[in-house]
Amino acid sequence: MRDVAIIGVGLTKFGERYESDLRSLISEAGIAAIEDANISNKDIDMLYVGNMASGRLTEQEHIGALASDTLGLSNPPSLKVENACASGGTALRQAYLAVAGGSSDFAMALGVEKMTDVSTSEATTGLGGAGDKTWELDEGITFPGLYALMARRHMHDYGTTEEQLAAVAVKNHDNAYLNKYAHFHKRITIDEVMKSKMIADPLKLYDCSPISDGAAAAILVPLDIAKKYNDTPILIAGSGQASDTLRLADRDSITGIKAARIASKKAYEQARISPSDVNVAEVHDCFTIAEIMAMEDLGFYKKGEAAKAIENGETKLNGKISVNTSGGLKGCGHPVGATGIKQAAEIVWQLRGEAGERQVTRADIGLTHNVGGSGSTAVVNIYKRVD
Amino acid sequence: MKEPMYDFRNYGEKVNLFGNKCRSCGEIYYPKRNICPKCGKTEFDSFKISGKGEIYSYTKIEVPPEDFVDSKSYYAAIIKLEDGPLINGILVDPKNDFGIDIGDKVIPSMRKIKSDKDTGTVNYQIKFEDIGKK
Ligand SMILES: [Zn+2]
Repeated sequence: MRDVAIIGVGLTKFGERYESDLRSLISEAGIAAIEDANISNKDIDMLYVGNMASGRLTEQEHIGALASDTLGLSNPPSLKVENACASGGTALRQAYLAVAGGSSDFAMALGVEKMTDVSTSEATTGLGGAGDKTWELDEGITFPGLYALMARRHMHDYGTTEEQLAAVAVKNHDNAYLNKYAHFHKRITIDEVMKSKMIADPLKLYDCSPISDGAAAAILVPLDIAKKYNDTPILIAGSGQASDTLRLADRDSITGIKAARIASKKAYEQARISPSDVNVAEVHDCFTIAEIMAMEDLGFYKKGEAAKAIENGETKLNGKISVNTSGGLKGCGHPVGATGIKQAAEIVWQLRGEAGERQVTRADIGLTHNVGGSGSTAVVNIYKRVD
Repeated sequence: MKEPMYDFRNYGEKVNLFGNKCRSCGEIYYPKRNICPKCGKTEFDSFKISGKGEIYSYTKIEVPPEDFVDSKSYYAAIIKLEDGPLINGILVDPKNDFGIDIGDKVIPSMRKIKSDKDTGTVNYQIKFEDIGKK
């Protein structure tokens, strides 16, 4: 296996992008990544497109070829990678594996989701497909309902409070306020979260990530040529992925995500680091409870101790560990297929020292955590600066 | 729009709570499986679960799916069955908003659940009735 580095990343503004279609979102993020990497579009020899539901949401399938065409690539193999909300992280990992294994020297991972061409209700129903259609959704368990069931049991077992859930949303909106790419530029208070519309008790509207349009891209090359293109290539030091049952009720536990624990263990072992070495992390906060569980699954906190730590500000910008400096899915937005790659872009900027107002003082090691469905898929990647 | 068969393919399993039991390790599954995640064997016997159990977790869903037109909101739960496995289900509306708690016992109850938004076909499903802590 070859060492692999990211030499370029690009992002679109996330949010309701009424003026933009799939092609324009792909162009915006893809060109930004190509320019950031100081390469030509003709150099790219492999393209993975992370996307969950282009067929459902835009009636456009075959977006591997669409993205390759849009970016004027030289006929590389291209394909769409679908893993529900973890599609982006999975596409990035596939690009990593292709370069590590020697079948690609310039791989692009590009995530995109165009979600606002259908009604919120249709988009929500489409996203529900991340759960078990026959045995959850048809029976009346909505997707937010699944995370609500996890939250309720977490509250029961560990004394987690609704105010602690709200603290995740407040922190992530604070970070998003400093990110020009973020869907929301609006600070919120605990009180506003608590008073927002109930979606699936105990989860309220402000506990849920929004429906967003957006795209993100990254370019991966073997580490030994990375310095030719970029002064601060970012090494992918470890990568892990795991699956679990599609239906929540079939899991060993619903107060954590086993697939994330397995994936992170693999990634930590490969990177030869422990959780306490991580300075900055982008985690999958599709709902506020998910960030609390992520902190525990990733080993940053013991089971049942993360909610209090978040409430105490330990995971704020320049806290003990800076979590979701981009604003996370909650504040930055969640164009599903783009999210996993946006997470990587944020970590790359943090490790390079290019994160502007939200730059973390000490950023040597970063981590991304991308979850599909209610925890049926998890991808964890670890990043290091190599100077 | 889906073919009408879609709504009924798993109907027998769902309304009768038919699961299965691994002939080798004895693990009980609902829905039924064809290969055992625990022991890897492929021989099973049909097993009708009682549907009795207790609430493991619950939520009140305030934004129902599009075809659940009859309901403004309803309770959903994960239930730990007496027979072993956990399943998810919908609860019969409680008498009041404070009537549901983790640990409450439930019994199965056949109820109308939705009408198909295209065909209007009415669908019945096993719901669960909270009968308190006992
Ligand atoms: Zn078995």
